[in-house]
Amino acid sequence: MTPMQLFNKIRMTPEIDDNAQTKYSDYQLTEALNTVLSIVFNTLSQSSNELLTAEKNIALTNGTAALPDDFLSVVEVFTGDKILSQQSKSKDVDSYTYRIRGNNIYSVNASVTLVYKPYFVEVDDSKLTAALPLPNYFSELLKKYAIISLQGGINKTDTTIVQQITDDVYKLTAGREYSRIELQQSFHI
Amino acid sequence: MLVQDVINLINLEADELLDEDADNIPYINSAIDYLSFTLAGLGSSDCMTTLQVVSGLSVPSNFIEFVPKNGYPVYISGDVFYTNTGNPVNIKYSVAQPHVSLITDTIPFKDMYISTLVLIASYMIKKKTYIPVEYTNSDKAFVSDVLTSIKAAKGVN
Repeated sequence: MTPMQLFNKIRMTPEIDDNAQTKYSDYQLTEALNTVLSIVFNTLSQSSNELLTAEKNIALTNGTAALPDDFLSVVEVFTGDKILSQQSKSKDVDSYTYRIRGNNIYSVNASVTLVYKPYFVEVDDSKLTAALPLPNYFSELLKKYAIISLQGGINKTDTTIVQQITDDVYKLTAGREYSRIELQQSFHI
Repeated sequence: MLVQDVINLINLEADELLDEDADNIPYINSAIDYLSFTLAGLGSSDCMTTLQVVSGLSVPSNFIEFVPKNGYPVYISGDVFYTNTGNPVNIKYSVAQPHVSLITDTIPFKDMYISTLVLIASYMIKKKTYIPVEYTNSDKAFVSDVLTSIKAAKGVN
C-alpha cells in the first residue's frame, strides 16, 4: 500500500469525488494522510503489539555505532544467540551488555542486532510511491479518516476523533501476535 | 477554426453591424476572455495546465489561479513564484486562452465552443450598437442559458 494508491481510493469516494484533481492537490492529501498516520503510529507505539517493531544489524566500530535514524525505543538487543542486557550506568559495557546513550549504542561485540520501535516519519511528495510501513488492512481506516481530515473534521486536539482512530487501530490489531490464547481454567475438575 | 470563420458567423448573427472584419477582433478577444474565465471557473481541462515551480520562477502571463486554490506550498509575490518547502513543486493552474490579432489567426478553443464565442461576441456588438436594448437582453439570457448547458455538460453542480 503506497500513499498514491490510497490517494486514488480517496479521490474515488463520493465524498471527495475528485479524479480530475481539481479539488484537492497531492500536497493536501499528503497532509491529511500524515495527520491520520501520526495518530495511528502514536497509538501503535503505545500498544504492546509488534506491528511496527523493526530489526537492524549494526556493526560497531571501537565498541560504538549510531542508532538507526528512526529509532524511538529499544525492545531487545542480541548478538548471535545471546540476548544482551542493559548495563547499569556505573559500569562499563562488556560482551553480555549494551548501553544506549545519546544517539549511539555501545557494546564490546563486533556487531549486534537491535530490535526497536521506530518513530513516525512523515510522508512527503518524494515518497508517494513508496510502500507505507503498515499492512494493507489499514487502508480503509486511513482512507476513512483522511477523508474526514480533508473535509475539515479532524484536529489532533479533538479527543473524540483521536479516540475513534485509537479504537479502530486496537480493533484492527487486537490479538495480532496472540490470537489463540487459551484461557486458564479457574478451577480443576 | 480561423478568426475569419468566426467573423463570418458573427456577421450572420449580428446582421453585419460592423463595417470592417477587423473591427470584430476586440469583441472576439473579449469573448475569449469571458469563455476562459467561465471554463477555468468550472475546472475544465480545456483551461488548465501544469508546471514545475521553483522559487524565483516568473508567473506565466496566462496564469489565472492555482487549482485547487490552496493546494500547493507555493505563493506568488509580484510576478514571481516562491515555494514554502525549498523543493520544486508541481502545480496545476488555470489559464486564460491567448488573444487573436489577425483574421488569419486560429481561435484558441475547440470547435464545440465556437458557437458560444460567436454568441458572446455578437451580444457585445449588438449591445454597443443596437436600439432597442430589449433585443440584446434576450440575447444575454440566451448566452447565459448556453453557459449553463456547458456547465451541466461538464458535470459541475
